[in-house]
Amino acid sequence: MRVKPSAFVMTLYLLFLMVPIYWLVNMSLKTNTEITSTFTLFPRDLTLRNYLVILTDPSWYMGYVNSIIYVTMNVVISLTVALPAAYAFSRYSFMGDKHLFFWLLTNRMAPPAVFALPFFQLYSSVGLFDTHIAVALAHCLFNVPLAVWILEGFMRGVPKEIDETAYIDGYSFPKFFVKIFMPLIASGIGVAAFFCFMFSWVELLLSRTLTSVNAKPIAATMTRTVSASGMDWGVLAAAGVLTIVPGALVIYFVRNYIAKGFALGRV
Amino acid sequence: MTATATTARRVNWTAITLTAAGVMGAILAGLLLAAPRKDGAINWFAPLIPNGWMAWTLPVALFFWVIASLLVTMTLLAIRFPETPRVGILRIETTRGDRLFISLLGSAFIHLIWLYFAGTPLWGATALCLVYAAAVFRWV
Amino acid sequence: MEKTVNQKAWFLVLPVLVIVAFSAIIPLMTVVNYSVNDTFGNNEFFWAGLEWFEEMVTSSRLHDALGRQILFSGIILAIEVPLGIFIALNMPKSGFWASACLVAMALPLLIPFNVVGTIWQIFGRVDIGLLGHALAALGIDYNYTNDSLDAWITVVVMDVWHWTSLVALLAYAGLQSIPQAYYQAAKIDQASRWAVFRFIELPKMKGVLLIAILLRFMDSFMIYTEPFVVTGGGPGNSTTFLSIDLVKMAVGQFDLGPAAAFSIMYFLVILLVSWVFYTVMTNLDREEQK
Repeated sequence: MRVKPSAFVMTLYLLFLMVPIYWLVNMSLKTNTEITSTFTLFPRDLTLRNYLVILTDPSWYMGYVNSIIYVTMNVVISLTVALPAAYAFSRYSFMGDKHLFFWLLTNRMAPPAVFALPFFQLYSSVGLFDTHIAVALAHCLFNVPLAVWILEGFMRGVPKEIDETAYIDGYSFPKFFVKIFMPLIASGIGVAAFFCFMFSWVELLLSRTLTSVNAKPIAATMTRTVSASGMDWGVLAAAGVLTIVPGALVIYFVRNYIAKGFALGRV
Repeated sequence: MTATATTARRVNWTAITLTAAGVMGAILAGLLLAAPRKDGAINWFAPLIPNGWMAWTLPVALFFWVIASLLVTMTLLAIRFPETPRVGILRIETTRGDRLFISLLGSAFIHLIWLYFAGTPLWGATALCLVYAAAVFRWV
Repeated sequence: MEKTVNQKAWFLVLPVLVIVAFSAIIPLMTVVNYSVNDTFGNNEFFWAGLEWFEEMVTSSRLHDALGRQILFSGIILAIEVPLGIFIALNMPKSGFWASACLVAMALPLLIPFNVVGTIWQIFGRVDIGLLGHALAALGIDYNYTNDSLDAWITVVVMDVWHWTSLVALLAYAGLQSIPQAYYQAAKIDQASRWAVFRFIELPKMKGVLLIAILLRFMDSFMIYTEPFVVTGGGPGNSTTFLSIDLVKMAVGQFDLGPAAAFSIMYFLVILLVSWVFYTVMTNLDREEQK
């Protein structure tokens, strides 16, 4: 059988993508003695001890809980404020709309490193340091613009006649928006929520700077383990696997929108 | 449609302009009054709010006041004489607001480049920026 | 779509304005304030004027970090963009395998940045990593914690691993929008594979590729977490990029003044690039409508 060259290229590329991930999973299922003493391509004595450590030690699993709390807050805030704004940008032209839209983009592009220190000072001065809401608000800096841009991209595809018909039928704006418009762009809302979730979930710098104990995210917990002496590689790998899981679970449902989401709704 | 509606309403532009000028002037006066003083004269470089974490000083406050005034002016101009985009030498469509942005961003870079090659004081760079801004508003 | 003029739309935008202003404008004002002051802590500030700007604009530390940053962004763009296009051209067009490839390729994009670092740390180490071990077995002296060239290669390969799929997925989305009739016409004209790519596929991908290039440029320009986890900016300073240097200065050493001056310059560059991006994009949109 002749192998198509394109299939060969894709196999090679996917292999390149998968091998490091496989190695992480492999490590998470090994005991520490096996990791450090022998070199094996697959776990010889399969163990779930590493996962057990994470799920029973509060200093580990609270990291996940904290991350999930502030990420959820952030998604809710971002979508609530972004939905009406995206509607305004997609339907109306008003004074300064282009400048405003551009300003939102600059915030998506702004390096978190620039904002880390002023955020620290700001939230310390208002007494929000080391709370979940502080991280959620800080992540709004890039997630609100992201949500506005993505939602605007989806809303552009909905014909304006639908709005007009609904107004003629006597719908008020809020009722039309919730009852008719939101179901129409449900997939868009899902994609925007997914990307807000993702970018808040993967962010380390701001969440690490703004927290110390009570709201410490899993990402910070992991880096602290890295810098400590006496590496617990197995647990570290298991923690890594567990952070990939939420993304991997929903990936199938958003597969056709990934390009659109990353491209800020512009594909 | 909205444009004709506004003209039909006969807006009193003198009143609006005066109000805006009054508000911005009041803020300026407030800033100068609140400024720390030493022997009766304004102490330019002392903190406006002692022990405030944002570390406001009068020069920076004035800087932001100027930017804010520019924005207010541009907004009023945009309402009164709606902007029509035009294509300049950069072959891109720009409105008045865009040209203000290009001027401000360019000025920041001119100041930095001047600082790198000539160091302080920066008055030369500021003069250069005025020329640059005029050129941007005329040709871009 | 023709948009209606409606100034009341401002009320719909207001919540976004308030929340983004709170998290963008207040910090930026603070940065400007800090950049002209000196402090020894306790919120006591002393006027420093343009001292920090002068210091930063001529600091060799900053020049080195900027040089490394530009080199890094250049290298990864030069690898990821052609590779991404190449992968997109080879992707299955439809059916089960298309979905499978999409899902598999998207996976690295959705891994938290620090876990990407951890994965490559575990993968690359000579003692426990598959890559490090394999290279050592081949007799190649590879150690990313000691050798700066190895560290660079690791960071670049990691970024290629992490983000090439983004370029590929965007290019693929562009390719999907080409009507089948175009290819048939090319077949009748007996156009070569290269001609099909050059005159049909590339022009259709122009818009998405532009977005891909600028997203990759911006995100690589502010890269922090991945190299920080893998190399910590070392060995020495060899992989200290702008963001890593800035965080070291601001949060590590608490040099508020210099860090703030540094931030402002950094932000100005970002503003410039974003503006070019936005202008080119809106111009492309307008051309398409014509």
